[in-house]
Amino acid sequence: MASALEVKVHPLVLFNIVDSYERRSEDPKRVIGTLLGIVDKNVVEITNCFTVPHNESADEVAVDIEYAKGMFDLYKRVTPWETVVGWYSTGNEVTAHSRLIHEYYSLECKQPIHITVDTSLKNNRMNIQGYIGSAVGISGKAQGVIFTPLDIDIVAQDAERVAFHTISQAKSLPRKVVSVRSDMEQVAKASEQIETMLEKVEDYVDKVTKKELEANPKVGRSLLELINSVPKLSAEEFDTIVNSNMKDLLMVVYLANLTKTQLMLKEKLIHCLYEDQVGKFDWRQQYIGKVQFAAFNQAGQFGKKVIVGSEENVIAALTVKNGELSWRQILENDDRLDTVLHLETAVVAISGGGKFVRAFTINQGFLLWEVNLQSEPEGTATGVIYGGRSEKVAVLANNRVWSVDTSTGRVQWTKTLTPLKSKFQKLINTDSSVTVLRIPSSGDTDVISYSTDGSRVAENTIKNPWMKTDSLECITVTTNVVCLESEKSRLYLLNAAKPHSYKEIVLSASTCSKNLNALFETRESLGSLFGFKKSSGSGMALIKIDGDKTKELFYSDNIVATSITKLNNELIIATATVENQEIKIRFFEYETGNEITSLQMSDIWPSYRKYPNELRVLAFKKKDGTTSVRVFIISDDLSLSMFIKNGGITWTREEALSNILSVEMVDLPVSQIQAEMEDEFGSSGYNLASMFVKRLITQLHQFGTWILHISAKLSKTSGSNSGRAELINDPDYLTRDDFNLHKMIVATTASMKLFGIDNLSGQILWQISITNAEVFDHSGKIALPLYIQRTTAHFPHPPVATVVARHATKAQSIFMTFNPITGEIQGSNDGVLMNYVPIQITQLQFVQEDYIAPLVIIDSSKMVHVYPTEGKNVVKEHANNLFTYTVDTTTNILNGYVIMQEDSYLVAAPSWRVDLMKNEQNITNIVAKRSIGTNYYLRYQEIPFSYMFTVSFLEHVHSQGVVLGDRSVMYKYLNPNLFAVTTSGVDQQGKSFISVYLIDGVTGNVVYSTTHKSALGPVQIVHSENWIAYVYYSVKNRQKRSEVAVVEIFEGKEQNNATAFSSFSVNYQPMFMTQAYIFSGHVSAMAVTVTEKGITNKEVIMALPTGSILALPKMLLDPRRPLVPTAESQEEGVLPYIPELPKLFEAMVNYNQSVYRVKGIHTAPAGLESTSLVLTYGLDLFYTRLMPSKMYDVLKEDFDYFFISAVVTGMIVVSVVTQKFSSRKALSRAWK
Amino acid sequence: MITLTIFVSLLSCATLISSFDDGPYYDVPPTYVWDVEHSFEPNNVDSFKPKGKINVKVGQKIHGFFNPVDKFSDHDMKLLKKCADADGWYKIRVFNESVQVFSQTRARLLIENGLAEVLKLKISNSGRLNGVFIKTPRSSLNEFRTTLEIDSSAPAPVPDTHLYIQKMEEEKAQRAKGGEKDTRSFFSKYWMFIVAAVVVMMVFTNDPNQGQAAGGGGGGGK
Repeated sequence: MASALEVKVHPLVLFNIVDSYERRSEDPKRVIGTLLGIVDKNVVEITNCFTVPHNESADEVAVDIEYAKGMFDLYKRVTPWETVVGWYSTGNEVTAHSRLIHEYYSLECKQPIHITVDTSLKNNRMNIQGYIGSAVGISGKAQGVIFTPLDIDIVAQDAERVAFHTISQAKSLPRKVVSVRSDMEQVAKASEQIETMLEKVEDYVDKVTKKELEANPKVGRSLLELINSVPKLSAEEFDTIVNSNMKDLLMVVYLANLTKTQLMLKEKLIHCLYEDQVGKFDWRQQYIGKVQFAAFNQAGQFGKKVIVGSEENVIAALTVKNGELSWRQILENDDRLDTVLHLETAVVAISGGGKFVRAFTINQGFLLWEVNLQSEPEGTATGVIYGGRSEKVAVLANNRVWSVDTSTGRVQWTKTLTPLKSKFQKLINTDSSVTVLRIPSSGDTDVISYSTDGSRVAENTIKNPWMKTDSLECITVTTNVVCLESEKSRLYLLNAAKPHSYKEIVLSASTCSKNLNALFETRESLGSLFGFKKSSGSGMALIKIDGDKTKELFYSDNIVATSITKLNNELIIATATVENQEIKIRFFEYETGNEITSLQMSDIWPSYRKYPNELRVLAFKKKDGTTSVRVFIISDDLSLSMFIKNGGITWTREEALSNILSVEMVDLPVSQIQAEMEDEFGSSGYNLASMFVKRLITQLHQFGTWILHISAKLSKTSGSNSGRAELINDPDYLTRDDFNLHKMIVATTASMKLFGIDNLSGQILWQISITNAEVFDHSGKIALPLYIQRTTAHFPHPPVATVVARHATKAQSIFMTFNPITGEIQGSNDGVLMNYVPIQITQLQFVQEDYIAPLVIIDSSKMVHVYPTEGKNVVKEHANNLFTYTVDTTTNILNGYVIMQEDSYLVAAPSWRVDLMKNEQNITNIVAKRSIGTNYYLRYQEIPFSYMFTVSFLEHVHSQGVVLGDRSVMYKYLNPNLFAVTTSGVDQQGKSFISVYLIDGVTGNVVYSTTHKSALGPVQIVHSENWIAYVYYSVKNRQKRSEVAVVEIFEGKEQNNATAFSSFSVNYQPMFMTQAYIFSGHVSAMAVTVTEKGITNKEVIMALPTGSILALPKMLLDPRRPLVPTAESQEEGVLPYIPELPKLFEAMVNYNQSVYRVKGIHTAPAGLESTSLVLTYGLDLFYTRLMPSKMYDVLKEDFDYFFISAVVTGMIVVSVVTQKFSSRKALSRAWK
Repeated sequence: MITLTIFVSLLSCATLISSFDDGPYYDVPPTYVWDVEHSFEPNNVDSFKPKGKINVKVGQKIHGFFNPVDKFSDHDMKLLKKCADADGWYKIRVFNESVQVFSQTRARLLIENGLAEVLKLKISNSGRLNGVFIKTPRSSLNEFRTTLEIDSSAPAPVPDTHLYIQKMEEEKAQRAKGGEKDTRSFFSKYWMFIVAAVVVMMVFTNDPNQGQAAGGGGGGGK
């Protein structure tokens, strides 16, 4: 046996041994150590070793066993596959002590190998000898060890070999230094070697043929073999092969270098934000969307998780502890997530109607495998785990069934089902088989079962009519299908495992009387339980299936959601009830229906959360015997909460924020001190004495508050580490700061929830849910418009904001008015109901007496309404001068209206019409600019006919013109009434095109229009000042790329009307300057920065689908960039034209904080002229500040105030002194 | 955008007009005829009266002319003045059986500017009527006259890659040419810059804080 053992040693081991011998301490003569390696049957491969200190004297040997163990543990961490295989010692003999050491090692491994390495270089050779020890002695009692010599092979891996060769080169060099050769040098060296070898062979062959040397048949044979192994090629062919190979190699080298350079550059550029500034001015929030699938997972090694899948096709894992995203995978935007299945260590997601089935690891969310089942899916897919322990996934979509192996993602079998009248819609796991069911409301019911290998186990057809109904609502309860017929008085029960035992159950009168009309399935597939509930609100009966009977466990009027879970192998049911802003989770035994009162828990449940929709429960016994319960709640307002027993609701995620529709940034109110000051100036009608008294009183008061303020601040700084949460509780926190950088972000979301978010921290400060309402929806474009009707500037009047929504069922609209800073609702919590559906809402720029800017609403019958109604007088005052328009995207007709007064009514009289030809194109965008104040128009707000824009403040244009290089001025065409319309269509040649129109909203004058042929949308467009910029996708001449086009409009070198613009007196032809640029990459949303006064340069912000947000200086998009720079253009500072827009890394304002599926970008000015506040929203939120022209209006932090004041004082002193001297001198001169 | 205009008095008629670069090609240019009507009532109740017809031929170029049907009578003039006094609207509508567009302007403006009127028609590349706009340029004739202006799509901007590449190549060629002439060594050519750079470096390396300037003064309104 021993002789059959094969021992392979890696050079590294030998080097290690020699090295440790070289470094041994003076005393011992030899070095010993442990050999590490892999044992595979009869092959022992020694891959590593380490020295073990030991002490030898004549009669004893001491080995530091502790050290050896410790070292081995450490090695185990690095290379867990290596085990102890034996030991080594230097020297050339096996000594008496070797037996003792060997005995120790035979405890560590089964059959230790002993290797001696002769470091004394006897006979000038380093002899390496292996031994295997075998015990000898009389039976039952070992007496000694025989060391049997073994042969040792030295093997090396490629890397080791290269290293060895490199090192061995140093042997002959005087300085013993050698550097690693580059690839090309290696190739050259190898070629050189081959050349010398060839020469040798040639020489030999020549000599043999000349009979100078005797032929060696062995050499001859191997030469023949060699020649035969080379394929016969012509010289040219060989050349091309070598060359092309070489080219490939060079290409790889080149690409590798390029990547390296790119990475280095990125490293340099991306840090243009100082590291300590990261997250200081910006924040990001990542969301999942409306959660549809959720389940607890306890298997993960990084704590418990909740695995969720959302309607937005996102899969994520939330940590149970704090609700943070452990990982998140964003799948295709255009596919829907059909099913999420949970395996032991993986999550399987089926999306796009069976288009993709993917598995992700639960711990990290890495993609394990992905399989494409059908490329053109139809309908939705259902999936189920089946096959008992072998865990396979069955997918049913579009009358086909697939079985996928969960460990490899391989499709094991596919079955196409006979497509009869209706589709197969249910897929049920019936132990080791999977069953598909077709339950049509009329016709036969088919039930087919397949086993794991795809064979048809059972096929049953249940003759119609076993159910007497027209429409059915079916749910799956473990292996049962429960159907509810349309009259809600009977249930049908079918067990997929025993299809012939189907049953019809007539509901009892007491159940019927409860008005229950919807089935509720628990998703855990534990126990045969289902709920029977009211379609809205609370009230649910829990029904258990027992064999082929059903049993109503209990009914409660308050239950809104239920779930089932396992606790110590017993099933328990959890129910949620909400009453008086309190949520209660109660638990019941599954078997008996008795309540487990010890587990009951409750917490505050604010009314804006509406009702819990679904629950997931995790219950387990802790080590100390107490029961711990975690309840994951998905509510109607899309929020996700974690409810922990004895801890209450520990965290809540507001997933509603993943679908923001409108955003406003509202100024915070000034602090009380300032407000009082302003109050003093604002009031009138006091006489001098009372004014004086008032002044004294307020100043005293101010002094008092100031003292309080200072003392509060001092006490706070002594406590120092006050977090942000504390700050927000501070009443002074929500007051305006010096530069008005601190604002309230007010957002409306598609789930009818409004949020107030602190722009500095990103914390939600208030939230409002609108009940019975829905968003305005026009052919898939949804909107929930938000108007700031009164800003914070009118102390003591509180700010006012209004949201307009549609009534969920009636042809009415809901106006919800609230304070945007505190979130307090004005009036009823349901808002104000109006008996009309608006087609257009416009916010007026003029204010009523109480500073509210009224909304002007046009309803579908062209009636004009004003909200609030007191605003009517303001509208009447400006009647005949107010214009508005609607865009009907179904007919492509744009209508303009003038608001007129007829008797006491206000009417919208048609004033213009533009027809954009529906049969040629479709309207895709309507973008008005943030308007500039003139008295001629209403600001445009569109409702369902098209889109809605939220325009709530005036954009200031600082400069009326552009100063050219020759010092002349080119005046901008600053028509505030201009709006842009983009369309897309297909022309007569079948080529797609996009068009852009600029239309005056007062007169219907189409100021500009252009058509890009061979171009595709979606078009993103920004419209500001006198320019528009838009992105489209060009498919011209096989050049598929994104392009950005810019149109700037000028009046010319003379200004027509400097004081006020009137759309009616535009009698000149404006100049249009256009240019297009290539942009590498797509753009999913676009916006432009705005600043307080419009002095600062602008930046165009683009959100890219890759997750970056790019801020491009508008200067780059100047259409006047000359191809050949002239002296004048250089004087003016216009950049020379380069067709491609640079995508600079330092312009990515969100550095590594990628945000996905950006739908919109909102910009707002700060009090600081240089700064613009930016919020991008979509699936994620990202907020930052942009300073397009850097911070030119703020002194640097290290500004030397002392120096400057010292210089100024010095100057004053000097000037006073010198004045004296000079006057004296002048006087004395005068006397002379 | 190439637009040409021609004045057409109400009494006479004339042709005109516009051409554009990439309009569709037709063997026989289609002709469109649109009716024009106007209304100017002081009480804002529309009462449209025929004003004329517009004929437009769409080919490589778009030609169009306005054919007035009736004289602008003294009665009409009085009505217009009355309308202007009441700050009423002067409306124009252009239509045929398939399309109708209209616009309006203040009657006051028309009278103040001497009764000159330009009908700006927006016509799509395929020759369809998109919209109309009434311009009231200042005139001293004080006599009603109508002019037609036809406006079609502007050519779309495209990235100027060809010109740019051409320019780059020219520059390259020039550089190649220039390179032959100047055979001086690097140092002999640029010694003054190098000396300047060294001096600047020496001055600035004394103050390490100088480097991290936050870049001020980039403002400048546009």
